[in-house]
Amino acid sequence: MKLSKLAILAVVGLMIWPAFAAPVILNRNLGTEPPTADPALGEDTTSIEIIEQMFLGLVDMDEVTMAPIPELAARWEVSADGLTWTFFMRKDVYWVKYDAKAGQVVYDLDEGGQKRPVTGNDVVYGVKRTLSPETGSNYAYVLYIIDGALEANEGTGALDDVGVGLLPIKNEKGETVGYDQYAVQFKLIAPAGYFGQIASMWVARPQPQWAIAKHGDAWIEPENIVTNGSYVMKTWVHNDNLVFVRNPYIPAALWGGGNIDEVHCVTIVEDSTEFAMYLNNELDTIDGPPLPEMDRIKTDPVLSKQLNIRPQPCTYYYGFVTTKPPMDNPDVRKALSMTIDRKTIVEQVTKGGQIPANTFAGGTIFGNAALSPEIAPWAIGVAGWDYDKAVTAAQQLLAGAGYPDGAGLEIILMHNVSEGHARIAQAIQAMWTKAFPKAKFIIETQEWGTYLKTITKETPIENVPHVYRLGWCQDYPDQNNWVHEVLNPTLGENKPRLSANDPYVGAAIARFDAVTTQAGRLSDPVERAKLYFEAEKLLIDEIVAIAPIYYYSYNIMNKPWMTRKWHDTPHWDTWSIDMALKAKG
Amino acid sequence: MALQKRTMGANGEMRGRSPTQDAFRRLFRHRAATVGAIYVLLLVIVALFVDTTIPAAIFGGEARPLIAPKHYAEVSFFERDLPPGTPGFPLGTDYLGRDILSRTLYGTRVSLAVAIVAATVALIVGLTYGVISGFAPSGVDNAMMRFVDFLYGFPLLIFIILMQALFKAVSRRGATGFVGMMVGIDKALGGMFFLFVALGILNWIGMARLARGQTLSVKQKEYIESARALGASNLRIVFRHVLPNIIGPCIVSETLAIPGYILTEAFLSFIGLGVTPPTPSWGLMISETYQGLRTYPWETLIPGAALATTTLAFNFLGDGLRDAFDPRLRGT
Repeated sequence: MKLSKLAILAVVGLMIWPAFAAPVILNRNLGTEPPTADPALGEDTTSIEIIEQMFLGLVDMDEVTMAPIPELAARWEVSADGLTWTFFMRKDVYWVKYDAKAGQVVYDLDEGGQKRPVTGNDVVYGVKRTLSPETGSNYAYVLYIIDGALEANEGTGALDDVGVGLLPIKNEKGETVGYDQYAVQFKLIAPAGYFGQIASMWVARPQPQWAIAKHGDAWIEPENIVTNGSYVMKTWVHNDNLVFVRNPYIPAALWGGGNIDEVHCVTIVEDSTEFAMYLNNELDTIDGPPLPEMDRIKTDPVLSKQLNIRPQPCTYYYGFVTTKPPMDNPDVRKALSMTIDRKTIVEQVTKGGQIPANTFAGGTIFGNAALSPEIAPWAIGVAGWDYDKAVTAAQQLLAGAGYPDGAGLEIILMHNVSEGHARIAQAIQAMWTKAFPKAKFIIETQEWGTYLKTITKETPIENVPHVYRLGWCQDYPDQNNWVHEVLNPTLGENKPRLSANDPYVGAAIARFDAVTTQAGRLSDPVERAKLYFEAEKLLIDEIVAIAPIYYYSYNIMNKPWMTRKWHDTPHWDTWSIDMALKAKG
Repeated sequence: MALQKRTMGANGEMRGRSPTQDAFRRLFRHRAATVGAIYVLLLVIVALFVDTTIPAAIFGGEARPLIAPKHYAEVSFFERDLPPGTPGFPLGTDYLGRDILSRTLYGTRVSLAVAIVAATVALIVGLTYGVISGFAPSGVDNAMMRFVDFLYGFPLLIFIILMQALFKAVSRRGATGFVGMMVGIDKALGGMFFLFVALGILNWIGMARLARGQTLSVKQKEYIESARALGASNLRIVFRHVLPNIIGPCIVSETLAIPGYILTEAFLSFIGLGVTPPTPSWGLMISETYQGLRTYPWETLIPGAALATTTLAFNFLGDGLRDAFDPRLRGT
């Protein structure tokens, strides 16, 4: 009798124990080993996801409006000419680290044993470190709007001349008597209305100078890293797993309202493995079920309720190398773009709620022209166009260019190795072959790293494919980040190798160059939107440098106990897990 | 009348059987080997006549599907992912609505071509190299074998992957002259030609070692000595006495290596370095569909089954051949 009572007590105890004592653990797959945790060097979504949790920005972006909202900076001021931005920081955020011996998060103390607050100096150091040529950041270009940043990054100017610094404190006579440690001032080269969003980016976040000076490149390892965000790195077993624990010292106002104490991350690349783990309750949330599983998920009564589809500010597109014959002829490019049946691709191949695209930038980007019937209406089947009509028009274009039925055309289409890209490429290959039966379309694949090197504009022309696949996701929601930084012929990445000397559409390219550069220097939103509209029309309809295919969507699956607040880059501190429900599941 | 040990033939004369005839009798008594041989034969027929490429090449005209019901690249977006047994698609369709039966049948062509070409290249090159090495003076022999040892040091698969990457780059860049001709052949064969080259380029080294060992042991035999005593030339000795005596084990070993070639091709196609899509190869078909294994298992399992049964058939055949030509090794 006594024994059975004890047993019941033990069972009940075990059942309620997790709800009381155990930390709330989120199991998440990062999708790959994060290439870095260094805010100056992050350039991929995985690195950025963990940087976002560990480092606070001056501002954050609102999840709906994408407008800047206070984070480290409680408020900010913009001068009347739009060229000077001053951020006033809060004074209650401190640098912390994980102490493995004590088994908990502790304050990082300076030589005098004092807590280190996050100050404007850390921000100034962070920005200058990102811009320093020695750091070698591939994302430094987003800061080029700051005065002197371009010169400093290219090594022609000094870092000290970059327009970022502490706010001077002046006396009545207007003389500088000191600097406000908690106010950072940026001087810009143009009144960029989107600078608030740039200030929210990881490349502009405070960085711990002392830790970087002491440990060098290894400062991002868990035993060395010093951070200030919602979560602190506890362990990082490379190519296997990472563990993050909640930062107990973060001000309540900066905590997102979630209840997760620990995040256990794995780094599994395979979609199918990730999905199997999710079905097996080993992961609480996943970001993209495998393409072929979408049909089953959508029809399954349980899984369909766990699927959330929402638009993602990314565009999937095929780029044309405009200097490689026969792609130098814009009619050839346009014919190929017209014969991509975008509707069928999103409905029958990708199946995840993507939207057929007729412009480069999608519908949430400032200055976008997405789905406007005035730009490439054939791509989205509006203004009297349907796919059959587009094919007929494309065949005429190609015949006019000297390739009737595609005779004599041999096109290499390259994509990086991935199951999903392979399916899309073969579908498009089939569409092109059907429209132009005498042409040859050859698909090639390369590993991501190699692929990125192959398609840069520095690669010798004989080594690049005619058509390349890429996706672009916003760094900040403004067209400047799209048409200008990606495709501008003089200042952008310009993978299609646009040049004003182009014998066919040189004038349009020169105009595109001028329009996108000018729009980035203006502050009047109406004027800017008008210029960006013109840029998109030139890009897609006249120059045909790229063939946009679809606007991405997020396909997120959450277990019933998982509540995931929306953010473009995940904010774990806003997520919650219902442990009682999870124990049952 | 002399005593007779054996039964007489019909005409009263005793009929002898050559060792080769003996071997084939043993082979056909081996049930699994017979099944394997028949299966391989069927595959060869399928590979040759899956479409009318061969008749069209001889008599002119366009190649049309013959054994396969449809062309392998015939896409039908709205008939995708149909299960086996759907009218018109006995084995179902894949994610682009392409007929899986047709693609699997066409895939036979790639697998068999790779198997046969790679095996033949290995046999010819390896045998020649091995016999020369075994027959040559010891200095030459030593040098030739050290070269083989050197080649053995190469990680084979990585080497093949590098070769394929190089070939693909050359083919993208475009070329003229001899290389241009090879690129042309490769494109016409849907990316198969460079696969042959990459596979054949190193696979002969095992065969060379085997042939050399066999030659060395045969060289010591009395009948070689007597042939020499009778004044036979080296060439005659090689062709009349050495080759016929070592070819059996060499063929057996090469047959047993064929499943390896087929699997290497499947692997290369799986990682995107094999044939170029939409040319179907079983490895490529598996790599394109394995992620949907839970939802559309047939898209992966059917080419998988084709791959498995084909390698099994070659293994059975190879086993039978070994037992038949080299009875001492039976059951090993």
